[in-house]
Amino acid sequence: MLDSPGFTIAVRRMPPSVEDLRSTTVADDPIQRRDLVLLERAREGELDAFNDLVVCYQDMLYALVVRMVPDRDQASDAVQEAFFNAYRNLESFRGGSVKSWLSRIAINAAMDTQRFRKRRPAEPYPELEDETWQPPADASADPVTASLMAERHRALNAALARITDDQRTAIVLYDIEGYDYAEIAGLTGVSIGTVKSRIHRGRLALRGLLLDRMDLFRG
Amino acid sequence: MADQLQLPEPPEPTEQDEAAESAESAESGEPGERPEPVDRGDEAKLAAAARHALHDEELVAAYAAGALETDEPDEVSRARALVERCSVCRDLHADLVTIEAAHRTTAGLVVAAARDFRLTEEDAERLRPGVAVVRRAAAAAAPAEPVPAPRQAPPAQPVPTTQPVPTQAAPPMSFLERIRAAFGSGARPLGGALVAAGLVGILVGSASFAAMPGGAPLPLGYDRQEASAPGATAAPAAQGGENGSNDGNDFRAGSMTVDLRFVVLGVSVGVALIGLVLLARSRRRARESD
Repeated sequence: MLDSPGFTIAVRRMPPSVEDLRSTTVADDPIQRRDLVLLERAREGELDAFNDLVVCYQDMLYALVVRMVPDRDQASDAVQEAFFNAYRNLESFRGGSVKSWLSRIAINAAMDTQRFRKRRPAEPYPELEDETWQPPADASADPVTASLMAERHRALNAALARITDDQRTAIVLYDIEGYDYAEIAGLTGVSIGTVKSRIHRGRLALRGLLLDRMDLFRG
Repeated sequence: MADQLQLPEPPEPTEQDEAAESAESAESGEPGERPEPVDRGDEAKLAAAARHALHDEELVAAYAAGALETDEPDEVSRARALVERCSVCRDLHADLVTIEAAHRTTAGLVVAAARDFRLTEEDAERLRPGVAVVRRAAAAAAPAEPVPAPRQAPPAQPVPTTQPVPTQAAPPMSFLERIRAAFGSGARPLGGALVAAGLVGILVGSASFAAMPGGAPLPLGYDRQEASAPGATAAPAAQGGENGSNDGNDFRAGSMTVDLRFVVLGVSVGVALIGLVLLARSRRRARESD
């Protein structure tokens, strides 16, 4: 049974292949060095330096937040609030990765938005059926692969928008952003066991929603 | 006799035999001589589904995520047994691994931000920690800095969705001009606040006069106690010291009370007037700037 071709043994999860958002301590990283210089200038009151950071990371943070808060207007508000919070708390930056620091602020803003939605339940999230998601600029994939990836992404996003906020947050942070269980537990304020449970139940829910389209993801 | 001997006829195949035969033919890959009934596969699926209903799917999900690899050996063996023996659990496991992998492959997709999130000067002013008036005064006292050149996008970054607003160069201001500008920008709220405070003072002063037993305010230096005494007429304040029923202390206390109320009223009117002037000036300046 175990040697059947359709059976895959689970292995310890590899780090995300694209880019790890967690803090790195590589002082030689030119991007991190640039970020630190901009942040220092922003701390000295230079608004343009802070706005340079905004330009650098607004797309990345928006992509992160819109996965957690699939309503585009609410996601935009959350990102704007995240940048406000970052500017207000420039002095609280204690070193490390500026990208990671901004990501955490954006994640908190997204979770605040989710809590606000919970208090005032309105309509369910609209499905993100749009063509604006693009592969990274350095990806030189052929059109068929790009189209397949876009289709997979649309299907995943549509399913993600239909699971609970807690499960979606845990899955986005673990599968897409590359945080580990302990980091997610720290960010969301729950135990590691709860994080694991949310991820597993969320994946089960996703599988139920994607059951008819699983062929899209195989092969 | 021999004619009467007949070989027993082979027994009719039972359902178990049919199932075993079809399973054997399926395993050997040869086409079965006897076609399997259509509902046989459905029955098998139903049976598998019934067995699977008792299985712990979350355990399989944890196993697929690799979350059981280190710390729960018993759970790992349970999950492995489920995946090995149950076809539904095996499919579930494979699908969960596929979904996780699909998520990771789409992690690099980016989306253009729906708006430009850069902060304006007003945003920055509002968000800076500290008291706004103190900050303005400190900024006014600070030496004039050259206006920075229009900023350029940092290298190796995504293209901004909107073009940056170029910074306009402004002539340097003198110290007095900067002080005036610092407080001039807050003239309108300051004027409003002064008018409000003045009106409150006028109201309080008027109410204190109205609350007095005599009702109307008395002239400066007039002793209300003496005035309200039976048989007393409008005695001049200057005579209070010579009156047998009043000593000098009483007279001074009464006159001080009246003076304080007039002072409150006067100051309130003055504050309200200053506020009105500030409001008028800010309005005129706004009209000029338009």
